Amino acid sequence: MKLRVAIGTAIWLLVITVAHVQLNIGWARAGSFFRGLVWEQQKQLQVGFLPVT
Amino acid sequence: MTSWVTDHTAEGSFFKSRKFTDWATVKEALIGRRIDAVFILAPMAMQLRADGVPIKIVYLGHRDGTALVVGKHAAIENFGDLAGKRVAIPSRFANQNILMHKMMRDWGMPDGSIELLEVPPPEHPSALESGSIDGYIVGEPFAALAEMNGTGRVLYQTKDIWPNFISCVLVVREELITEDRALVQELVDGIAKSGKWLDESHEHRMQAAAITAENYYFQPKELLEYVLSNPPDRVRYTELAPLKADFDEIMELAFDVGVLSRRVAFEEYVDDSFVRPLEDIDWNMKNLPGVEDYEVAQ
Repeated sequence: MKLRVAIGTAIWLLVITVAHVQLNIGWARAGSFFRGLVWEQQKQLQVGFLPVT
Repeated sequence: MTSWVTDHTAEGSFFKSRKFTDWATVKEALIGRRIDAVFILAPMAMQLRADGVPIKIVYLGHRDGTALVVGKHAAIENFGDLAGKRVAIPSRFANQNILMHKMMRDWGMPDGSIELLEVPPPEHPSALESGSIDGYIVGEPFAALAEMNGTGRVLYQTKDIWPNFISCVLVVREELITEDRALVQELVDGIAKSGKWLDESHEHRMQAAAITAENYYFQPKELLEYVLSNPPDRVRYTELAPLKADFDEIMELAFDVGVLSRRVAFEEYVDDSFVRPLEDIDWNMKNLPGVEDYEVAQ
């Protein structure tokens, strides 16, 4: 019984997480976020702009 | 427009757009090395270099994309009708200022025959509407804004009076070129790719307008759609290599009208070694995010 509850909870969390990324965040942004967690492997550069062509 | 793609390069580097609201702050951030790369006005970049700031222009932001706007019902039908009028410019270090002086010469008008006022671009349309100016010359979307709200009309698109007009250029600190040349190459390639994608189709431009309106410019989507389609070549995002002939012309004019304190050689302020033929760049568009990956207001 406990195993079934644990598996059910894990599947439920996975489904909710995937739906949240799909509906609210976007996969590109999620990818950027996770790449940010391993910052030492990723170079970063700020690029300034004014909102005029 | 370029930010969308450069956020997501295949190499995995992260180019984060940082929005500024005025040119003075951009300039100070660059001088103080609080930022290493920025889109800035072309004559401003030349003057910074003339002042000894170690920067290089490595690419252009776009071509054309500026218009001279007058009141919708004003009795102004050509450039000569602007004599004695007040016209707003974005900055004395803007190429729009240089263009106004160039046009005065072309029309045989003495310098000073049009009163030029420095006004921040977002305030141009409201200044025209209030009657405090008779016209303005500015980069998009602020020319289209007066057209869309019915207060102004375009007297000239720059593409019709100075073809391949240059306004903003991509400038990087020389230290960055020395410390991480590959990163600069990646940035330039990303901008080239995004520009090619933008100029490929009307559909791409409409997608870019929606994404940019929501995530970068914070302007109505319809306004940016208008800018990118009326006419389709109002702003162009290809042919972005910095060419000596273009910059020599701007530099000489800027020096003549007193914008530059001294002449600056092309090689002093431009590093065009990052420009690659478009066919040599890996066009793996699968690495680009789809419009569905962004929160876009419907």
